Amino acid sequence: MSPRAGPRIAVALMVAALALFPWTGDVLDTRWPTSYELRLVIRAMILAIVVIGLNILVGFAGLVSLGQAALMGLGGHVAALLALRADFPFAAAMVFAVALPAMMGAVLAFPTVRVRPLYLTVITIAFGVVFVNVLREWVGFTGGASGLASIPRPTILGEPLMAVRRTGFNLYYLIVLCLLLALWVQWALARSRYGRAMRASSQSENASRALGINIVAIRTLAFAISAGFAGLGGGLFANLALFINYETFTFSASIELLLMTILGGSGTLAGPLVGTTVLFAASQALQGLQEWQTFAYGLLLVLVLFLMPQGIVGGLAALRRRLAGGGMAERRTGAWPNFVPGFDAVASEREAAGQATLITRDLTLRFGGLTAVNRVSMEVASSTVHALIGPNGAGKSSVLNVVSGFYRATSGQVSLFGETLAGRAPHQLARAGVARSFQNTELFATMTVLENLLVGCHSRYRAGFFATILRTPRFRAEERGMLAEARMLLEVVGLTGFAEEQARNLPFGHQRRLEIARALALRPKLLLLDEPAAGLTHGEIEELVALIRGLADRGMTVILVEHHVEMIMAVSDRVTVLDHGEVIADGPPAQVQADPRVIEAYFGHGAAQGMPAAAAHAVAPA
Amino acid sequence: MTGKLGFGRRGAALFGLVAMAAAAAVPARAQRAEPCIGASWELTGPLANQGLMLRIAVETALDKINAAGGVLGRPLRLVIYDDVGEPARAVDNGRRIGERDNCVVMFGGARTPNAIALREPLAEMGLPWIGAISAGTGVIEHPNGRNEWMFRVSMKDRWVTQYLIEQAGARSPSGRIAFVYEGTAWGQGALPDIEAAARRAGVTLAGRETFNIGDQDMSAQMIRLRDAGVDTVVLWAVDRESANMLRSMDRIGWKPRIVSAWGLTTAFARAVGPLADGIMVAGTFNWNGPLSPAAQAAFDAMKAKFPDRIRTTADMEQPSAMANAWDAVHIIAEALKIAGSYDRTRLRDAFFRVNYTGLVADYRPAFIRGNQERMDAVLPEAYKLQAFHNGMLMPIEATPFATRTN
Amino acid sequence: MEAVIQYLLTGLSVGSVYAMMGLGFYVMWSAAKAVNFTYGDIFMLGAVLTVVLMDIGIGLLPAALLAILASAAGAAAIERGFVRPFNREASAIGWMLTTIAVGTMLESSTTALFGSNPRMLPSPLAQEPIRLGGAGIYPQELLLPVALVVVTVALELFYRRTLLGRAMRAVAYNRTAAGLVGIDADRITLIAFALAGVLGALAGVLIGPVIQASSTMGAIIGLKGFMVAIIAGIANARGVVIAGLLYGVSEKFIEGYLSTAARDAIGFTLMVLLLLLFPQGLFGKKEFSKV
Repeated sequence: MSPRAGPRIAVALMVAALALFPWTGDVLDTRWPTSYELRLVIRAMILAIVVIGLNILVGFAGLVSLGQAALMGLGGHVAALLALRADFPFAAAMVFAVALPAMMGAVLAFPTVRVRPLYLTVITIAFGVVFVNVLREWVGFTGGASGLASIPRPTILGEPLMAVRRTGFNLYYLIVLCLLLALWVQWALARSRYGRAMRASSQSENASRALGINIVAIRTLAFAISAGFAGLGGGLFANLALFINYETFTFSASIELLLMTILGGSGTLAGPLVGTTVLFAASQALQGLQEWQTFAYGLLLVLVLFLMPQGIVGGLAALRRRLAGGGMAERRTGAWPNFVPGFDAVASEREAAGQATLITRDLTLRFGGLTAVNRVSMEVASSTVHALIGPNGAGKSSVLNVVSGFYRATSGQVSLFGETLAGRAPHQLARAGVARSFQNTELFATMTVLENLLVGCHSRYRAGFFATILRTPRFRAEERGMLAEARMLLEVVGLTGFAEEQARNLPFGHQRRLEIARALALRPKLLLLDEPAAGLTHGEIEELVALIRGLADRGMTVILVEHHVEMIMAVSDRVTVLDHGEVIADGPPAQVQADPRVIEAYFGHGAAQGMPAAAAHAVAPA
Repeated sequence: MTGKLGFGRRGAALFGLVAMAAAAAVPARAQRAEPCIGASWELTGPLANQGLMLRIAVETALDKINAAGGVLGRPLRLVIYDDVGEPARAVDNGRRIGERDNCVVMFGGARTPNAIALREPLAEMGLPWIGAISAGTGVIEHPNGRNEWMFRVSMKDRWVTQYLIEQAGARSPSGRIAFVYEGTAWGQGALPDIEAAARRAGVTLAGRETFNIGDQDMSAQMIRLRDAGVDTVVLWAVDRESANMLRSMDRIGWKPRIVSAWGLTTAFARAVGPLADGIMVAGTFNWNGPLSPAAQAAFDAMKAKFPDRIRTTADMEQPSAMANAWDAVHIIAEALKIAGSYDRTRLRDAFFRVNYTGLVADYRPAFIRGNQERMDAVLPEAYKLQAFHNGMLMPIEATPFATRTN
Repeated sequence: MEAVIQYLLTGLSVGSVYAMMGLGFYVMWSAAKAVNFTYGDIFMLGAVLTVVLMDIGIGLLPAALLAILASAAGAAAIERGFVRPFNREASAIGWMLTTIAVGTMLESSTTALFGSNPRMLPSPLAQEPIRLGGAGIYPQELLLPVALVVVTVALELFYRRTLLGRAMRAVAYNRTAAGLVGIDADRITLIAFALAGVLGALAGVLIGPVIQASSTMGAIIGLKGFMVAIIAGIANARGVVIAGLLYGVSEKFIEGYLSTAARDAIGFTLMVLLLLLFPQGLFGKKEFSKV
């Protein structure tokens, strides 16, 4: 039985159960389910749709919204008002019930997602309060606190939609369909670059940017999708209850939706279903405790949050992983670099030789009173390995950060691939062909090794959003291609055995390999490596040198910030030395190595006799 | 180990367990209703006290009826569900009461939107509903004119507003009357009724102000009213916010006459102390002062059943609602007797044949068929004016505030 | 004119409540980077416990003191039991949700035991208002701004001059590094929560006589106090206090000249706009993260 079969069977069973549910009474010759049980299931399904939306926002994109109920209320009121006041037919009203909240979500998110995620949460809270206030006070339009009653019964092609036997429970099945649609979109999103980008952006903003992901855009997309689902749920609710007022969409309701998301297991696919069912059933079941039921509800939540902090589905998955995993000890590490046939493609975007990949003139970077980079002028030629070295605090990483767009230069000119840098954002530079690694490895910790690589491929996809969600043949072909390339890169760095392992579980050296491989997935023209050898063993450093050599041989331009002098000498074509933010030497490795100013900067005054013998001996080609 | 049936003892035991569980979860096919009253009240949240008071009245009344042999030879029981004041939950509970518990009648709660949301489901299930608090006019008088299942033993806001305007007009020296209401469905719903009543009485309202639940200061509203020369306020709000309003008035040194709907209870008086003195409240019943034997017996019974909550008549914190509920339960019992069986449609039809003398009024008849307006049992003639005096809510005749100036 | 005076006076009163709550959030946030969603209920408990203790015969001042101490202990217990276990995890919403759940438990159990009715918290300073022309204020309401000033000054002195205060700032700045120099970060956080508990309960006790003690009085106050702290940038005590007072006064002027019904809608919209204009808060410093 393939690993996919389990979930597929579960889904099939669920669909079958939902489809047969209203007719159980006929089969078993009883009065069950009555309109009460039917209503509960329908209400739970509607909530599940809304929670699926919230799951995408919270679980994938890592943004907490405490305004989901308000967005649901917006969809519901849009549907109700259009039907009541403007005689809109059901389908048309529903389109608006989805679209308006989605737009509202985008409007709320767009300005907010640049700042701390806490602020988005605060803004969603504020939105919820304002929305409820407006609903309650705009008596003429929304009915005020009394709400809108006698909403016209929805019809499709003249057929009334009701959850009763007479109509074949058509409203019920419509809602089942909507739920399945929501589940599909959630699943398709998760298994696409959009879902991966959302999860990446929540785990490491910097790495995401450096791989070409527009954080603002992806977060706004997540919010819009999430709000669209909320609107769908709200519209369905309005057409079920035929009465709507603000009380259903208060701050407490938003909290409950968030709890359902987390309790089920944020970020999991089945989580919304489980969380909704459990909490909704609990609130009905606890009725027996009368005035203590809310207390018991809170107690139940605390218990579940304690015992299963990853939620029910998340906890079960973690348990399964722990029981199944022979784990790390059994995984075999491959040798690297393993220049497999497909590797040439990595450098396929390279520039022609003899170009000036990077030119800086008088580049200056100041942080308040501290000048990190002071009038640095350097030139990096294409298809070379250019090292940037210097003592700690020399400004090396700062230069890298300017070139990759993370810092903006205070003054000076930087030209990249023949064009000025012009304050472009990191993700734009990534798409222009600049890839980098980070001093502190910024892997996407809970994503698998393979997923990390696929995020690296993100910017190279051509398939658009709808093609992705619908999983068109063209999208699937592209995904297969990217997957193949990701696996190829894994082979290159010898991590094939770890493909399904979470990145955070990797030993340190393997993490480094992964980060470089991920940068290569971008097929960059320029690769920036920020102290890639830090913390590696001697043998690993030799392997790293071989990899860089292999890249250089295939024409890629590499800028290498490093401390390991022997590594620099072994692999670079040219070396620039910085000290206190200024260039003190620039030239071929041998020349720089003997430069007295360089020696003084590293070893202090009175050591200008040349580099210690040990360093010279360590220059051993791999 | 397989037995004769082919799936072994363990399989059979498992099947048996599942079958029993399934059978227990499924109610038997019912043609008649159960002898239960289903209630959807607010048991938790800011109006939890109202739910509690209703429970005290209804449970005590049922105890008394059951002690005397029940109705149609069977004891009548109460099942209560919490709707947290939310209409969707109220409908959930309504369906549960009507379908799962198969009760013969549903007892309504405090919130008007909950009752409105229940209109359709009640009609669809054929479940009679009787309210003892929610006074919104629209609860009983449906816009389509076809209310067939919802009855009420309580006040009707359209009549209350008329009553209050009349009382305010009789006591306002300058005739400058203002309406202050809470921003809830109950408060907002009364505004059109007050406007209509004022027009009918030839009164022009000198101001309309509102505040939200949870508000702690109403200085802005009070300043506006004071500056408009208002000397009498018709108040439509509940205890806590009204208490804060009184303090806001106290701060700016403005003390108008106040004639209030029944949102004010002894809790209000306890919260503001001497500031409550002289404030008038419309209601259907008062437990302080001389009680009829029936009322005294009712009070004694509630006191005996809930000794921790009801020690003196001052603890009857929702006085009118509790009397309404007491009467409502008895009217249900009477109607069931007339119906002759636990059948919802027959019960609904029997309601129109009930004649009963209750605590609040003489219901002869309680309801009139074919007249939606008269599915309210308590007529304006039964409304009583009360006033706070020395921390107690007394019938107005027992206070120094009984004289009308106009 | 007297309307303006009234709005300023009442704005001062209600703004002091927001400011005190904001201070509490500031203290807790800087020590644990955690938001305590039960804080509104701590405020409520300050008032409600005082009433309960007075019911059994204890005098106003000892009852108030006991209530504050009990609430502070409660806040510490919440930190120990419901915030600390979750602050270890990467998941930032663990503590958010548990404190929400605990808040639900606190409010519902109080409603079940104390009832939902408002109760008077009798204080001699809330009987007779001081009148200034057509405006007035209870002497009780002046206690809060005074307490606010005292607390702010005390807090700033505490953070700057005492060892414990500096340890708290160290933990706020970098928890791990503080641990490395021998500071028990967990104990510091516990103390911070207890301190915040004192502030919240104090606010409840001081304003209770004016707004009545009820089991649901804390919810919206907690929310507004939190928003005030965020708008101020949760950066320093003075900024939070100023933001709180400004918000309180703004609310009154909005009620006076725009709309009482839409007060919260307008107020919160303003806060959102402020947040978008000043992403680091009104008084916060622009954050810079090293890449």
